[in-house]
Amino acid sequence: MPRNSVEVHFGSGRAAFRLTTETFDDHDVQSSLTGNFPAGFPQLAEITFNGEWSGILDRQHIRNEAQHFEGDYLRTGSTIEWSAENSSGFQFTSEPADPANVVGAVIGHERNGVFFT
Amino acid sequence: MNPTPRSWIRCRHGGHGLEMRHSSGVSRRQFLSTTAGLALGAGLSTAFGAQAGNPHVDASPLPPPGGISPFGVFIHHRPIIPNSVPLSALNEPSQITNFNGFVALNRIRGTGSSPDFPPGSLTFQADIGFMDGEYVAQDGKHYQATFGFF
Repeated sequence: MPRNSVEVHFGSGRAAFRLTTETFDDHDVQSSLTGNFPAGFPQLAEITFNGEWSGILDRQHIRNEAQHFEGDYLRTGSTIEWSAENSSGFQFTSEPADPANVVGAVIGHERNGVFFT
Repeated sequence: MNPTPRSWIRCRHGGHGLEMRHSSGVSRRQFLSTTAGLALGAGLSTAFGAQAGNPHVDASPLPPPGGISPFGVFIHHRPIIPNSVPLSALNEPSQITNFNGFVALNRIRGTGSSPDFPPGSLTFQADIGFMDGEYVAQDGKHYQATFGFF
């Protein structure tokens, strides 16, 4: 993925992920995971999204021996705006970014696997 | 059914125009796609700049151990913990292992609109994130790359 699709300003607790790409509309998540698609799917689609992380709510150094990762993590607020159109012409545009819609969000500077010592 | 290999994506960013890039080789099932009503579920992970096109190396990243099994299909992904849960209970937010760098992950719920549906009738849940840094690939070599997830 192009490096300039993402931005990280860890010290200030901000990050962004912006991308326009062609992908597949699989109709629903279950179809995407199982590979059992309804008639007419999958379809080529183009998606554009803008995800942002900002506003530090908590910060911790975490070392997780069970999952083999360690790092400094920031809990933040987060928003997303996205739109998509598939090859049949179906269009979707999300509502404007609303910080109240976040379920969870984190930014981290971590190491795992062979870098976890 | 679909002649286009799912391990290929098109990308319009980075000054490289619209072109085909080979993906990381990470199975789409290792990525939890999202959205209710419309699932755009392709993994965006791409070994950008990591000796693309050289058949003698495999710059694909490796998935982290463990994961979840939505709809009975195991995927190497752990959803972000809600902000109401202590941060110390964080699960591995990276979608790749042998990684050293910046990671971000979120979960957002919301509504949207479509000309074909009544206003407010479409909802979504999206998990997006990225990994930006150094990783050790399947070929055992070190690479620097950016991976996305949605």
